[in-house]
Amino acid sequence: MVAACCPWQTEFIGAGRRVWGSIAPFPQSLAGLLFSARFMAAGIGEEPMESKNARLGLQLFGVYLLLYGGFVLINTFAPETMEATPIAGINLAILYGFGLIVAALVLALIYGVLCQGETPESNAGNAAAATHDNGQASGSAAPSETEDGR
Amino acid sequence: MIYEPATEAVILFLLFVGFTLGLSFWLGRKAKSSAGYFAAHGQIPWFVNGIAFAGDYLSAASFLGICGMIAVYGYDGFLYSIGYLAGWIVALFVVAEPMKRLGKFTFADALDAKFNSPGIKLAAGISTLAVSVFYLIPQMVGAGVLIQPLLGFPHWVGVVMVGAVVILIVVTAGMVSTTWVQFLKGSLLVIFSAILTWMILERGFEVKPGGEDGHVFKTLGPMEMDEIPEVVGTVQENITGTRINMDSAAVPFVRIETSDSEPTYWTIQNNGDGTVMLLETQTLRNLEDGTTLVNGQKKGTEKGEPELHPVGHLIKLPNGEQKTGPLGLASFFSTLQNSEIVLWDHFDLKIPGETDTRVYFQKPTPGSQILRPGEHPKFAGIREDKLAGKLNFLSLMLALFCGTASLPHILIRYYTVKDESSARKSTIVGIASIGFFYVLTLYLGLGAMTSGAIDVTDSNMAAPLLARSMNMWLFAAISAIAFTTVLGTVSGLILASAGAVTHDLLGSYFGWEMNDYEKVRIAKIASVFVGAIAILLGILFKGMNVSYLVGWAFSVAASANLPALVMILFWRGVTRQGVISAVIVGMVSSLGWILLSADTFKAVYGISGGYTPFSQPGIVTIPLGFLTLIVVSLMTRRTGLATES
Repeated sequence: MVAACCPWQTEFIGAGRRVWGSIAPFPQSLAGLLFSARFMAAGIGEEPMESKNARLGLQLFGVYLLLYGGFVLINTFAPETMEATPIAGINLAILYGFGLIVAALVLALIYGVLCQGETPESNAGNAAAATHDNGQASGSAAPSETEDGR
Repeated sequence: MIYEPATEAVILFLLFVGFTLGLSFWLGRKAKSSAGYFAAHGQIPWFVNGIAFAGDYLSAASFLGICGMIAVYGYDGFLYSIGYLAGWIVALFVVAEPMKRLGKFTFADALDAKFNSPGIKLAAGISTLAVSVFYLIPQMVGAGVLIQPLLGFPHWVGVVMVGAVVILIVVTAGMVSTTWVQFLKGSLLVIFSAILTWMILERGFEVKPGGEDGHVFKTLGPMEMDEIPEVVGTVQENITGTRINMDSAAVPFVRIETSDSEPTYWTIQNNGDGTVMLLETQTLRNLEDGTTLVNGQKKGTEKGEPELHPVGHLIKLPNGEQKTGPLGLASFFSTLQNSEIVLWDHFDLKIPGETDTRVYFQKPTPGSQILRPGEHPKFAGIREDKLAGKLNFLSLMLALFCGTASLPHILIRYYTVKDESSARKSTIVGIASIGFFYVLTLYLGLGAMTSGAIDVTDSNMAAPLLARSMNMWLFAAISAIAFTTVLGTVSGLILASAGAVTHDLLGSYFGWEMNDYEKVRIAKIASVFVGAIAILLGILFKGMNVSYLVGWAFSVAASANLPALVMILFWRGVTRQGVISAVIVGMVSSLGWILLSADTFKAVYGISGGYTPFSQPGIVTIPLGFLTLIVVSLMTRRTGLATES
C-alpha cells in the first residue's frame, strides 16, 4: 500500500498544477462558517428543494447524536455504570445497546412519515434536477431506458 | 481443528451458489449499457433496494466477525453492531437525498457535481479504490473462513475460489444482477439468523465439563502452591513439574515433563484462600520438520485423530441448576448474567532450543463480566486510566458512526433507485432489516460462546460452527448464504472500484474517449485486476478478526470521503482545492496511521513495535480532513479573489 501511494501522489501534484490557483466559486468567510449557528441550515436553504426534509433530517440526526454520544462517552469514561442491572436482570450495556438500535428505526420511521407530505411536489423537482445532472455528466440518458424492467 | 466435509452440506451449498450465479448471469445478459452496468438504470424498486442494502452491508464482517468476537470475548463485539447501525443514521439523515441529487454513477461524481474538476475526480477515484480494497480484505478473509469447515479446503483455496467466482460475476453481470442477488441473500441471511436464534433460545444453557467432542477439561486441586510438583507427580508417573517464570504473560503455569511424551502445560488459578488449582490447557506447536503437534501429539487429518478440542462451555448456572430448558428473549441474558463460562485465551511460549508453543488456556469468567464492555484486549483500554486506550475506543466508535455514509459501495446503491423518495424509503427498509439482524448477533454470539463448538484458533468461525452444532442442514444453508453474501459484497466493491477506475481515472482525469461499450469493457478489465489484488490480500491477512479489519476500512472511508461529502452538501465556501486536499490528506493520514500502528506490526509484519499512540486513526484523521478542507478552501478563496482583482 505504501508503495502504491507514491505514483498517486506524483500524479496528484501534476493534477494540482492544473487545478490550483483557479478562482474559487463560492467565497465565504471563516467567521461566517464558525460563528453562524445557522450555517448548515442556511446552506441547505439555498438549495431549491428538500429544505424542509433536510432540516428535519438534521434535527433527528441531532437527537440520535445525543443518544449515541451518551452511550460512547459512558462506555469510555464510566464503563462500570454499564454493569448495573436496572430491568429484569439485564445490564445497562445491553439495554442501552438495544435501545440505540430501536431508536434508529423509530427515528427513521418518523423521518419517513414526516417527509411524505412533500413527496409528490419534490419528486417532480428532483426528477428534473436528476435529468439535468445526468445530461451534464455523461451523454446517456439513463432514466429513460427501461430494457431491464421486470 | 479438523474439518471433514459433509456430503449433504456440500450439495446444498453448491446448489445455492449455482443458483445465485445462474440468476446473476441471466440478469446480467440484459445489462449492456454503462448506465445499466453501473447503476441498474435507476430502476430498482425501493423495497428491493432496501433489502439489497442489507445484503451489501451484512457482509462477512457482520455475520462472521461480530458473532465471532462476541463468542470469544462477550459484549464487546456487539459494540460493532451498534456502531455499524448508527452509521446508517448519518447516511439517511445527512447524506442520502443530497447524494442522489448530485451524483450519477460514483462517489466522485457526487463530489464533483459542483466543480467538474479532473483533480477532484482523480482524488475521489483513488480514495474509492483505496477504501474498496481495504474493505475487500475482511471479505476475502471471511470467504476463506467459510470454505474451511464446509468443504475442508485450506484457507487460501477459499479465498481464491471467491475471487475467481466474483470476477466471473462482475465480468458477466453488473449492478442489476448484483442488486437482485443481494436482495435474495439479504433476506435469507436475516431469516436464517432468526431461525438460529430461536433454536439457541429453545436449547437453553447446560452445565458441561467441555466442548461438543466430549473431552473433559481436567482441573487439579485445590492444593498448596509449593506442593504442585508432588501433586502432579501423583497423577502420572515419571513426571517433573517445572514452574516457568512468566512475568511477561502474567499467566502463571507449570510445565509437566514426562519421559515418553511432549511436555504439557497447566495454568495456575489462585483460589484466594492460599490454595491453587491447576487447569488443563491446549497446545499447538509447529516442529521444524513441518509437522504440527496438538496437545503434544501429531495432528491428525481425519475424524477421531488428535486435534484441538472444540471449546465453549458453562461451568455454573444460577441457583446451582444443571440445565435451564427453553429461555425467553430477556431471561437468556439474565440467566447468563449470573452464570460462569469458560472463555479461552492464549500466549506464545518461547523456550530456548524449541520451536514456539502456543498455549490456549481456560479462563473461567462470570457472566456479569462477559456482558459488560471492555473485556476484549483491544477495548480493555476503557477500564484503564491511560488516555490512549480511551481515545482508541472513542476513535473506533467515531469511525463506525461516520464510515457507513462514506463507503463507496453503499453510496452507489443510492443511484439504483429512481428518486430521493425511493432512496429514503429503501434506506428505512435497510435500517429495519439491518437493525433486526444486529439485535440477533448478540444472541448468536453468546449462543456460540456456550455451544461447545468453538475453534480456539479462529474466532471468525464461531457462527458457522454454532450452526453445525445444531443441525448439518442448517449449517449448510447458513454457510451457503454467508458465502454468497461475501460474493455479493465483494462484487459490489469490485464494481465500485471498476467504476472509479473507468469513470474517474481513465475517463475524467486522463481524458480517454470511450463509448458505452468500451466503458463497460474497460470496467471489466479493471475488475479482474482489483479482484486479483483482493485475493492476494485475503491470503495475507488470514486469522485477523474480520470485524476488526472492517473497523479500519471504515476509518479510511470516513477520513477520506466524509469531510468532503458533508462540506460540499452544507457549506458554500468549499473550493475544489479544498476538496482535493481533504480527500488526499484524510486518505493518506488514515492509511499511514493504520500501517504504522502496533496492531499492523504484530499481525501483518509479524514484528513488535508501532509508531502511533493507539491503533484506530478516526479521532485524529476525520477532524484533520475537515480542518484541511476548511483551511485550504479559505486560503484558495483568497488567492482566487486576488487573481480576480
